[in-house]
Amino acid sequence: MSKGKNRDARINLAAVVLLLGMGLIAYRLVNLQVLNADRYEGLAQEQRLQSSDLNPRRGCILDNEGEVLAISKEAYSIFATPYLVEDVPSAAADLSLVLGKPRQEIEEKLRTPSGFVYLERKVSPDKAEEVAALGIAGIGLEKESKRYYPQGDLACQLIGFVGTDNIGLAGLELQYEEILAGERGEAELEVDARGDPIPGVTRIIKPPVDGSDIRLTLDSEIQFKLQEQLAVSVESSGAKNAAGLVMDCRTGAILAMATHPFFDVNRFASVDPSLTRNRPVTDAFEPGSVLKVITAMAALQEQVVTPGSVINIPPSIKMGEYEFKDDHDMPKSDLTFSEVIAYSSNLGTIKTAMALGKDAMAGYLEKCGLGRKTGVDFPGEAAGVVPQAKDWSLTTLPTVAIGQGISVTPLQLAVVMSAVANGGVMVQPHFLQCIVHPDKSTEEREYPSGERIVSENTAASLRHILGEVVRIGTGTRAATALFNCGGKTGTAMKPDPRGGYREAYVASFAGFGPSENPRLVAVITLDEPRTVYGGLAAAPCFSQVMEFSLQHLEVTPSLEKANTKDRVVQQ
Amino acid sequence: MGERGHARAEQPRGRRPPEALVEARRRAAEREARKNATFRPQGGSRVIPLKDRTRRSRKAGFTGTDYTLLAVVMLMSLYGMVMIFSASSGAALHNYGSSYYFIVRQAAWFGVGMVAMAALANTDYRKLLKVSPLLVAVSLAALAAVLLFGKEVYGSKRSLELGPLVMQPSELAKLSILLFAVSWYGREKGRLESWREICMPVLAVTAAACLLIILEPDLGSMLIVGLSAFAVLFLSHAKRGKIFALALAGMGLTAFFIFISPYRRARFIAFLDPWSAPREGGFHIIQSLLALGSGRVAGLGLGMSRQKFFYLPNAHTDFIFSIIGEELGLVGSLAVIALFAVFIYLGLKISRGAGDGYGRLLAMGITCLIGAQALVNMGAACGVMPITGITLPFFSYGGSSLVICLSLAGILVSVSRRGGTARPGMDRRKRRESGDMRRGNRRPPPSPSRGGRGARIA
Repeated sequence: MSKGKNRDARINLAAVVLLLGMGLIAYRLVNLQVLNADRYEGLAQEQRLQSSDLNPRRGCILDNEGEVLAISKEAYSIFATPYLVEDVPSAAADLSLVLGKPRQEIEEKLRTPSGFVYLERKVSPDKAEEVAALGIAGIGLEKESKRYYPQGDLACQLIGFVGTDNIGLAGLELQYEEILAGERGEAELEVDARGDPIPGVTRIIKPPVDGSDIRLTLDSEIQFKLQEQLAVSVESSGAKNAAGLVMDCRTGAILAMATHPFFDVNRFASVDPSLTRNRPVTDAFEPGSVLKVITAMAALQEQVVTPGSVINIPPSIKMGEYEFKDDHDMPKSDLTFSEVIAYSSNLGTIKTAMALGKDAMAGYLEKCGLGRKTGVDFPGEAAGVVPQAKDWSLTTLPTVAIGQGISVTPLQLAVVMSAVANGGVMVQPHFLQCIVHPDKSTEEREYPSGERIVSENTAASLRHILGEVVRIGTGTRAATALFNCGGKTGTAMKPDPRGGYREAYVASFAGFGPSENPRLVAVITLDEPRTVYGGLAAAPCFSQVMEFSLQHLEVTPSLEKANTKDRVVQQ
Repeated sequence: MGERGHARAEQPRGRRPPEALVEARRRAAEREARKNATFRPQGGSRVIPLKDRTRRSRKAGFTGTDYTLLAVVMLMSLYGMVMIFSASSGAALHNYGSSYYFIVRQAAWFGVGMVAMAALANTDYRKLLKVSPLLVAVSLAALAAVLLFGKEVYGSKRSLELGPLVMQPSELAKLSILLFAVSWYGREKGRLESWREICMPVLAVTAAACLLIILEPDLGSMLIVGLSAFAVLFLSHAKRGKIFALALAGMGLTAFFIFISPYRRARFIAFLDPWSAPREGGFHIIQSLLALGSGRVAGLGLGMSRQKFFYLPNAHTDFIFSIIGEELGLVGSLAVIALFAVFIYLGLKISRGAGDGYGRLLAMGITCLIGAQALVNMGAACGVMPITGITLPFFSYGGSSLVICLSLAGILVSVSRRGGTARPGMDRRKRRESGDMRRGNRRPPPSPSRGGRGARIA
């Protein structure tokens, strides 16, 4: 019987061991599911709860007629959860076929020891569908939006671009980031181990607020014309680059602004950064004779001269070490002040400036806003450099009077020209016309009217003088067929970075039209053209752009033709 | 060796009958014994006339069936199927295009398993013991075939595909090794003194099966197969020292197998400290713990598991227990433990009430096999044991596993139906008086305590 008991004992022992094991598991379960439940539940939630950003729609950029310049399109990013991809080489081969990327590169990404890696950002919905159709485990799609610029190279430097995260990085996209971006929403969703949302448990914590559209003052047609004409000018003059802008002289609304060469905005990020500069705003240059407008404005306002004052033009003026000359022959030795400006006589202008005096000249430069940013709504504006009055040497006044030794931006010139065209009042240049909120309500932008810098009479006299520039002077090629225009040519030597000047010129023309009731100002600059004179190189472009723009805006052609093409006096 | 025993038992008769006669008498006695074996009065207190017992014939229908056991087994299988559906529907839809992919298959296998269980419950387990060498041979052949023609999944070949059927021979190997061990250790009761008796042929065959399984490789199944043979040996009369030595050797071998394979080594290290590599080795353990913890007391609700969304790999097979804990909470997981505890208790009862030594060994062997497998599986889910990839009996998805588990349950029922009274000691004595004497000790004596001395009474 002892053996029987022994065996009973072993059977009992086995059962006891098993039941004890069950008890141990039960104890462990209480520990896991009651005592430490918080910890494990927290970890489980942490790994599957994903607070995901709900991307708002980024606002569009529109021109003044509602034409779309920038829009966000649906796009998909393709990502991988590498440890879920079973057959890496074949997956990489399939994906490389669809995505058109090297197999090697994809395979490397699929082997990264992380839970998430992007294979390609922002592909079209069609491509995304193809990838989904491959049905590879561990490969996922993420809906995103991609910025698209339907007009290609139109206003390319102006619009700027956004990064892969849809944040504006340059141009107006950067300037109006806050308005365009909207507010990100937040959703709490639970995702499975592959990163797909678990159905039915997504909670939106905060809905996204779509960005607002911005409507610019830009006019696509004028912009197109400006770009076209800049290209023509560059072609014919061999300039390195060219810049121009068209602005409403009454309001400061910029209708067009361009820098040649152009590029497709959709490829912004891959373009040489030097090409992406919006030169009329960001690059100051020595304007040369165009600046005589300010000298004349000051002299007329301070009544140093009248348009009819006769000024004797000497062969040269010597100031200390330096001898000033006119760089082209004047038709006669006694010129009226009008003719001094019209023929762009350096010596006549210098004599006038000397009469005006250093303080008055410096005061008007200041009044005209040179050396200060205009405050245009564009990032990276240059202020230009104006020598401080206390630092002026003997030669500074004559040099500045003819637009050398001082740098301005084309936009600053446009603002000065606006004041002339406008009866003496400055304007605030701007791009933004209004904000169109997602609910279609609009918010107009108000711009302060600038201060008066000269009297209406002075402005009128100066307009007449600038009209003479086009009728008989250096700017005859700026004349249009239908409109009387005024303006000033500029041919400036470029400063040598090593000091002094070099044999390279900037040809420019700044003007307005129509003269009797000015509507637009336009500034054209050509960098290092073969034909150096502003009147030859830049004026024709001005003529084309101004005529087209005025016609496009349905401005009544000038009834009394003063300096239209048929009235121009060729020398 | 059994034959030698019978020969010795003949000697006191003084006259040796012709071999043929001896054989004929032995067969007749066996037939008789088989007829009588179904005797099992319900409830120990009921008195059955001696005459009835001596003339008892095989009881028809379900008489003597342990209904509690049947109920427990059914509950476990159905509970399992509900949870399999919950755990697998997402993965099934994702991978096979139908939420019902796994559950339909499991239900079909459940049907097959029920038939097997019914058939085995109505079969005398001693017949099974007799055919066990054949079963072992089939198992070994199937295991060899797996190595040659098996279907490779996650780097190991564990199953054979026969048309639409997928079978895991290691499951069959468990059952046949268990039966074979019982048939030998039961026969050798009381005389398991030399290593040779212990090893040949049971441990040799077990070792062969284990070798074939470890080559798949499937360490978990190998351990269970080894354990089933060892459990039977433990329950038999082998000396404690030898059992202890064998256990040590087994553990040493297991450790050896763990440490020669980098993959298993990593898993074992991950078991010791899962948080050291939460993305690699520790991933399964951690995800299982997160599932259980998320369930808390009441659970997230049926079908509401989050971990089944690909966090917990093999949610419907190896980690069904974690999903139960997540969806039904502590209540659900303790219910599983309770069901297994009842199963173990019933197994113990059946073992103690078994009609003969084979029945005792068989019932407790089956109980140990199922119980140990459940412990290893649930232990892995709770992070108290390394993950070995074996199924939770009755619960996990897997046709072979379910059919074999139900078959084992069927054998258990068969033992219960052919057992003695609830008081085993008395039963043994009565059987000795009524049955053994008449049987003339031609068959292996049913009582381990009296085995060697049956002849004296005759």
